[in-house]
Amino acid sequence: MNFTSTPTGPLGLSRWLRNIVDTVRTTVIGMSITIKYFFTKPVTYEYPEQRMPVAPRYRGLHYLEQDICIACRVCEKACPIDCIEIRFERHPGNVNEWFEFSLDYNKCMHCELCCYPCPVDCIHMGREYSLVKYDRSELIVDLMAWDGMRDKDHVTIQAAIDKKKKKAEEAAAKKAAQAAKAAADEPSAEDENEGEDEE
Amino acid sequence: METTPKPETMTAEVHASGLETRDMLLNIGPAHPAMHGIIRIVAKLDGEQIEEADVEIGYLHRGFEKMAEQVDYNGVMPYTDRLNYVSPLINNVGYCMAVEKMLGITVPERCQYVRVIVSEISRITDHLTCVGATAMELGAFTVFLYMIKAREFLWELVEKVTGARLTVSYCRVGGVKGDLPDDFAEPCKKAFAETRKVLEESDQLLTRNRIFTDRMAGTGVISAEDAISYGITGPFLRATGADFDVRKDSPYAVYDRLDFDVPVGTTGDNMDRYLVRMEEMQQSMKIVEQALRDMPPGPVLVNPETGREIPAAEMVDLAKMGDINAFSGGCAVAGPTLEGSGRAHQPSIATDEKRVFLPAKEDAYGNIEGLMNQFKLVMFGHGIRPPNGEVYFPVEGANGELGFYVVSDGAAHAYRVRVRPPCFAIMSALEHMLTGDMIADMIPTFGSVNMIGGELDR
Ligand code: SF4
Ligand code: SF4
Repeated sequence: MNFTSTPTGPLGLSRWLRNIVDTVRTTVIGMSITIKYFFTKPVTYEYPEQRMPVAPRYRGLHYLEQDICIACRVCEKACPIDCIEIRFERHPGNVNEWFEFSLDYNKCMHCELCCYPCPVDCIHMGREYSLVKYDRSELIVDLMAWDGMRDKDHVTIQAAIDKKKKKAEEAAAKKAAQAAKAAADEPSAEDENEGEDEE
Repeated sequence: METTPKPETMTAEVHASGLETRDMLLNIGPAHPAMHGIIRIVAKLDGEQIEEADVEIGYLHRGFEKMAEQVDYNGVMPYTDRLNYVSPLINNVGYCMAVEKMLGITVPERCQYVRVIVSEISRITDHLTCVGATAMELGAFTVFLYMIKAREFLWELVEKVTGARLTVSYCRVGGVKGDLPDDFAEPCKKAFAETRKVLEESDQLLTRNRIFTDRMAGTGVISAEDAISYGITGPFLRATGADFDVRKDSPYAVYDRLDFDVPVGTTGDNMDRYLVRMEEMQQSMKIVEQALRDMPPGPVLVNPETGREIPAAEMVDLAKMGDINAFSGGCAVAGPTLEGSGRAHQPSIATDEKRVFLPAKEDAYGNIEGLMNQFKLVMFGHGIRPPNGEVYFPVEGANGELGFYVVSDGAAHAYRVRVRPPCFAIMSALEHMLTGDMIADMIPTFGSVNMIGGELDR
């Protein structure tokens, strides 16, 4: 290996001279390199005022498109440390009454394992990264844009209930008609029952 | 003096001059600026000479191996990031390749190249940190700043690919999360130019610097035989003259197709380790450049007529109406973090084994097979299930051979995971290297070990 190391042996004139040469050379090389940086632009950012641009794929804080979320809980299962908490109630007409979709940033490690499996692609990671809070409990962030149900949802539920009711009424009417028809054909009620049993 | 109880380890002897001398016990660490990571060294000193050094590890134990038994195979990925947190991508690659070996699958060629590229970038960041920190502890703070600056440029590259700088979680069993960005070669070239400049400057500042060489050369010496008997691998072993590199001796991924040299030292002292690391960074850059040149091209971007880009949400709506034809051939535009993972990219970055890798969004929305595949992989009680068996897979980590030993009992999570951390072996030899040296030599020796608490204590 070709590098300067301490010469051994008695402190003769040559070693004395070499020490001086080494010292001067080391200092001059070092200084000449570092002095260049005096005249270049710094590469650092003054953080709170200036913010470093993040890459397009940057995985920051999550956001949820609650409109299209179908509350399938796949993201909850995919998360290795269970930091997503989903509570909802399913109503007729595939409407979810939302109680909670929260993310515990105490635990979340921004691994993005929850985003890809989402079947409808509604949980994303944004570009925001500073999440400074005074209290740990504030780090449990609710991703919901609304909770409970919206007017639209009530309409959907009502429509679904109406539809179901209408269907049931129709079925009942049909059955009644059939029964009436059967009654007209066969006057005896017992016979009708027997017939049904046989079927 | 007789009334004072003496610690057993201290021996007092009367010097020829009549003065009593006695050994001194010095506690260095656990929280000492030179003990990066948390570690304690109890040194028995005779004057300035270290007579015995008791190295105490385990302060950063987090139960990685136990945690890896609790979550599914892909869920381990974030934990592997935290093993060697200076080069997390190599850990990702190592773990994935171990599980893939157990499953008996190979990943596409482009994916292997991508893995090699990200591993080598990580290796450079690791060596930059190690050399920079060692130099800083010897007083060359400037070098540390320059090297960290270069590391930042490389981490920007990593961020472009993975979306995170440190906690990358980039690999998945059977592939990687997303393809390289389209114009990756360009920023890569720029970052490497900066890194080369920094390396050259650091080389001028350090390699012929009298103070640096005086403190590095001849300290922390270990012979090749001793190093091998301790199980040391990586740059540490190569500095002793033994030529062993997992990338050359049992090549994985596409390392056998790439042309690179393995620098080997002669004396096994700190100076050689420094020189080996400096040269390895140059070689790693060479590997990345070759890989970028040789890798098979990514997907040809979608045909503008048939392959429209449709927002994923719209695609979902169309699929719900049953209007599959409206988007067949189109590609879903999911969030920006999922860039590079669509149907066009999947054949080149992920295995086509359906039992391992989640289907592309377009398939999950567009056909029932894709949807079932998706649910078979994400539902409880399903997921990736390797056959019964055990595998060991070594990769060349930045510090040496990083091995993952995975045992499966056929369930969706590993039965047992064991990591072979490269710096564990080196730490066991630390006492051997420190004994007989001066106390001031402990700093460069310990620095060149490049102890990473995360992988040492797991
Ligand atoms: S996986 Fe997607 S759709 Fe399912 S609950 Fe999570 S965010 Fe909602
Ligand atoms: S980013 Fe990772 S840790 Fe955070 S919620 Fe998603 S899966 Fe869980």
